[in-house]
Amino acid sequence: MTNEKSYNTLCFNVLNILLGKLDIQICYINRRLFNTVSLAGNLNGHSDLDKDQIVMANCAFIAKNKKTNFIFSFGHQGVDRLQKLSHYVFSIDDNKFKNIHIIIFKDSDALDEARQINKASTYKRSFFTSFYAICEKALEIDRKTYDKLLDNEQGCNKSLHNYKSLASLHKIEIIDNIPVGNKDHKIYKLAFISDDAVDILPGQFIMISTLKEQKAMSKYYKPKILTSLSESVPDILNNLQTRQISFLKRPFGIYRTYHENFDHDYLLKLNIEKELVSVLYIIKARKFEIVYKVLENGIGTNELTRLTEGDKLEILAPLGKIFDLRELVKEDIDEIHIVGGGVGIAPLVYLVQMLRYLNIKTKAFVGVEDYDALIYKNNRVKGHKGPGTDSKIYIDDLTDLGLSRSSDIFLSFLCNTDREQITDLNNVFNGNLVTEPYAEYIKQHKHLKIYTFSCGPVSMMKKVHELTAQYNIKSYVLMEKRMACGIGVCFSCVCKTIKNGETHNSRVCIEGPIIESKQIDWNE
Amino acid sequence: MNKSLPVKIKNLVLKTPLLTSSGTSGSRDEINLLQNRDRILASLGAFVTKGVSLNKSLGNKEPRIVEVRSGILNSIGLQNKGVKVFFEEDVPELQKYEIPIIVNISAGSVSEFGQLSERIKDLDKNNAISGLEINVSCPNIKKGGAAFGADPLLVEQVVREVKSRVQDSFCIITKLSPNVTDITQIGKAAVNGGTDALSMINTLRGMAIDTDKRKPILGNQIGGLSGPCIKPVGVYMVYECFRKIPECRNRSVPIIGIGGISNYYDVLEYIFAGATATGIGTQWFINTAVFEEIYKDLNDYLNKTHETIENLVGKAHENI
Repeated sequence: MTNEKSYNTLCFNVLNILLGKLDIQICYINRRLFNTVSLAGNLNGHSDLDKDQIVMANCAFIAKNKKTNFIFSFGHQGVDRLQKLSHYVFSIDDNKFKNIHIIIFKDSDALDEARQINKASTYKRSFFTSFYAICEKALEIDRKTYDKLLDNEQGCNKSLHNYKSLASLHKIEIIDNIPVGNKDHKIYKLAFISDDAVDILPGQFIMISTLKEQKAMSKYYKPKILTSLSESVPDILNNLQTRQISFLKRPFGIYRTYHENFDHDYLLKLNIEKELVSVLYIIKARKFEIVYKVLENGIGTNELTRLTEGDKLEILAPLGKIFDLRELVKEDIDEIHIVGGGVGIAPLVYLVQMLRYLNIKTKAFVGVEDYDALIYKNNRVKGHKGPGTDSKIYIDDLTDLGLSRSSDIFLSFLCNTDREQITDLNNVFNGNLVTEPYAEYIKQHKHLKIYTFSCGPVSMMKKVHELTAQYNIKSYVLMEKRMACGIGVCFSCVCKTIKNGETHNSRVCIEGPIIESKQIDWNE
Repeated sequence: MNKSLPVKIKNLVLKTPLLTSSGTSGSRDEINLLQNRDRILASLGAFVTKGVSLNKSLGNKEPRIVEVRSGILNSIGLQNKGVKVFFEEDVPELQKYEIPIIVNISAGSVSEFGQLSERIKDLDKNNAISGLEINVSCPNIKKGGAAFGADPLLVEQVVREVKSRVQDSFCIITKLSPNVTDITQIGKAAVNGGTDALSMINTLRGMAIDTDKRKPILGNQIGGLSGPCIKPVGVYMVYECFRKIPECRNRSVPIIGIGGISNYYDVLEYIFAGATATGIGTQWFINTAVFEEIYKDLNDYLNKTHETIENLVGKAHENI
């Protein structure tokens, strides 16, 4: 118990470096969990929760600022207490994110276990962090105090936070495969649910098998003798002789993820200081969406269109280099811009989802062919408007994620479109490439500190690169290439890059897909 | 350790008959990215690296890969960082795998092969490397390349040159090309040159044409075909070499069978044809769990039949 108390006390003191900086004040301490003599924090004021018996009995301490009560627990307090408190906070908060339960785990393993999807009923909408993550943040803010605190501690590794998921095969089941726009657009939104948790971080992608029977075929290759070619024979066996079927998996960026117990638009309400939220984790996602365009002779994308609800496939994930958002937290950025053309917008929307979590102001420049290319009938995916309603792809989701239709979204139609159709957006540009309004915007806002991410046709990304270079804006592109393996083995997906004046063929799957645009050899 | 799975390639003891194949096994990134890293390494007898050359190579023009029916065509063009950087960056990581490492080597001339293998011997101060696989057959390098693999005299010279430079420091494997009239002639030449083992087959030369643009799809026009579609060719060539080369038949020069393996039936086919070990390549692009799956299935099969891999080598020849 003494050991536990001193760990708790240390943990509290380290966290207090961060809370102190953010002006989040401690208002209740469960003193029997700590060595009270060495506690750094002073009680300041009180919250409406620190008289609440259930909270007082089960939590470790409470902190608050004007907007939010933060109720902290330690992971080792026992599942019963954690669950009880988690459910209670969930019930009193009423989806407003004014009361936030945060559980601090000792290490990454315990943190990871709590984030598995089978823990959704235990931990409801609790947030998680680890001692290591807190230490790292504290170290960044106030090295001196941090060193003093940890001076006498044994076994505390000072270079700490290396928490990420490794790639593996996951079974998935299709929820929905909805066409977007009219049949000429050939765009689909595919939603699926994974058997287990998949943690896809900004910049990462998945490889998906497009043919549902594929895996089974390769494993049980021994040919079966068919007695009759009845309707029960799977489609692929009928056509196997004449039609080429896919052999490799296909790479896709994620469009959106959904987390159990978190509403589709929870980011509209969540409002935690970015330095605190950058050390917090939530339950891993289970529902995913991708957006794809069917290519004329695309074997894989054509196979994807045949998938229907309940079909089972396999993905390899997560893949690709993680874009470290902590860089953006440190840098104190005014605005993030995303500039996307066509289905290239999709992975940028996911990036926005991750960025909004950190509360960074975001502007979206979206370029599509015409108005129809946005419209789809939304029917099944939970958390949308209801059956059969018209939805606008990209636009509705960006709104869900907290972007304002009147000031944050800039929509360009390549083909002339009846302006009357779009009444709820202020910034609509007709007959324009997305780069034109973007050029205008950054010209007018050159005093701001901006990071730009773009994805779409190469000519578009090149233009964005040139524009951003002109104003010294840090600019990244999401590259797309033909891929075979996705894990750096085959060297198929290379793009020409320049580092220290030397040309390289960089693998998009390992060194990308997010690559700083100035590293790309755009003359290639 | 299971007693029925280990095999011997000359003095090299492999705990299982499953190897990665050069070109499809990268050098260090891929396995460390995967959650099943430890299971993969437990299933492998040895790790065969991607091709390494004396100097850095940027590789071929894009596109480098095209999917075909039941396989892929590639023309990567041996992109690699050169042997020096390979030893600085990759070898220390590879050593952590704790399984034998076989380096696949490529060069444009007999003397360059000699230089490269001697360089490896010099650089390998920690004895991290167990073997060299001589790539006399990569069809993508315009200089030499295909010409080497098809000329018995040149193959013999290359093997003799490499062997004389490294002596017995490494197990020498010669990887044969299927793009020849009679593979047993090339195999015999490699044996005469002193190779310790043969591996076969490399990719088959092929091409795919874009019917809209009416031109070859690959940046390099031609490429190498791999995947399940080439397995019958590989099995046949292993069978022929085992039958016609006495050193293969008495297994003083064992064969490593490669080409289109996707499951344990395929491994067995190669073993029955005369292979002592097998390399798995393209399937690994589709199924990152392929090694552990085959390992398990093979193990179950041997337990059920009470046999060992060593005793099954070349069985198909007895049953005719």
